[in-house]
Amino acid sequence: MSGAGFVLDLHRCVGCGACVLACRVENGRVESEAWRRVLPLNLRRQPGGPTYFLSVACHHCEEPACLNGCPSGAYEKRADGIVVHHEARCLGCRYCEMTCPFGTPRFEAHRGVVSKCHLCAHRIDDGREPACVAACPTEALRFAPASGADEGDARPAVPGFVDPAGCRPSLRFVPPKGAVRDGLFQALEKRMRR
Amino acid sequence: MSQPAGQTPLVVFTSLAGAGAGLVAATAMFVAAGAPMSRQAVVVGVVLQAVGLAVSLTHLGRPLRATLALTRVGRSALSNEVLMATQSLMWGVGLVALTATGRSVKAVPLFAGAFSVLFLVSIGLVYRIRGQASWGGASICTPLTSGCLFGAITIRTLMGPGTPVTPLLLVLTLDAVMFLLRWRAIARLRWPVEPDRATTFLRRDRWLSARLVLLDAFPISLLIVWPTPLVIGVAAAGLVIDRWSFYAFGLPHTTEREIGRAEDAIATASIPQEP
Repeated sequence: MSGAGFVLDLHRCVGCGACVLACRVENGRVESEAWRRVLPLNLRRQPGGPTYFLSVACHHCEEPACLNGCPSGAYEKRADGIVVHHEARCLGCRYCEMTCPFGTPRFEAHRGVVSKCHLCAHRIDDGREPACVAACPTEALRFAPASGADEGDARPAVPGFVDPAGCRPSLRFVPPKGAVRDGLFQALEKRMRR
Repeated sequence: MSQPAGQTPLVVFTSLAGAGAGLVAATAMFVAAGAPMSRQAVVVGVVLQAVGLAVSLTHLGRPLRATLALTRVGRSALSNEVLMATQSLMWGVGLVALTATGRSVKAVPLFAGAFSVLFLVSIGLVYRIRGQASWGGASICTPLTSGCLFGAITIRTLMGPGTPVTPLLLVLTLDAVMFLLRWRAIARLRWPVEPDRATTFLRRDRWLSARLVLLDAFPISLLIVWPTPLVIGVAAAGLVIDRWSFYAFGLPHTTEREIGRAEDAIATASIPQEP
């Protein structure tokens, strides 16, 4: 990972949603316009089975589809890899909603513009962590500053999260541990590769 | 009929502007084939394009910033589409103005037609998005082929049986092939569908059959046996269904859909249970 981004430890994440709430408070987002979301995997299809949670926001891709497709130049990739959206240049055409393969940018009808996570760039510039990372009670969500090195056994794709468009998202996952969770994880990975 | 929110103006824009550009493009094809130019078709084409472009502004959250869409020409497919739309409209207006003076320059309809074709191609290219399988392949070509087919049917109806048949047969063949390829691609999609769109997807083949009959089969049959202006209305209905189905059956890749796909895999996989 060369640009700034997140590392999500699937073994530690309990799906509490503290990251979502912290993001909303920090950035003044109402619930329906939250930039971060926690998506459970395997709650509905196999009740009682092992579950893990994907806490996702913008992945600040190395090749951001939103930036490349935007007709008005509303997106900018900073030197540290953070992809920021300038609302003053946004037409509200919603093309970034179509081009982003992760469904990240969200259109806000009442303001007529799109918005998305900016990795708390203002906090990072002040030497602090993003609000979601600071609020995580299990340290499952970590901030990875632009370094050029991957963190341990973190991987770029897991079942439920792949990069179909060559955007190279900065999000990395630490896989779940434990025999049963490993079993689920490996069986899924094998099946998704088919 | 349900579809993702906010896309109705896009259906109207691509239907009207597509029909308008298709009329101008088809006019150029008939002129190239030796037929006289139908001024009526060009005027209607230009008006449809202008109305379509005006409707497209209603899709924008900030329509007053619309000119910013031209700042990334050459780098953004959407900027290219906006540029081609304005070029196509300007050439169309120029052609109407030229015919109003009574002068006839054969190259002008051909240039206007070429820019209309480029505009229709640029509409398709907007949806050539990496990783978004539902809008790739032949669906990129259908704005061009459906617009030109509507134009060719309209001109043939307006000008009568004496006009050359080659342009009509050419675009009919291309459109039918491209649409059937698109249908096959839609039928192969294996992504989870939101509950509010499930009914639309269940009736997918019915909608796509209706499009094929209304835009391709029925107008051509009517043109052979009973060439009335009704043919144009039928083809227009087919064109609207074509554009609507493009968005209604689009299933862009998102993390939520990827999770749905993984959960489908869980449902059918032999995976150890937690004690």
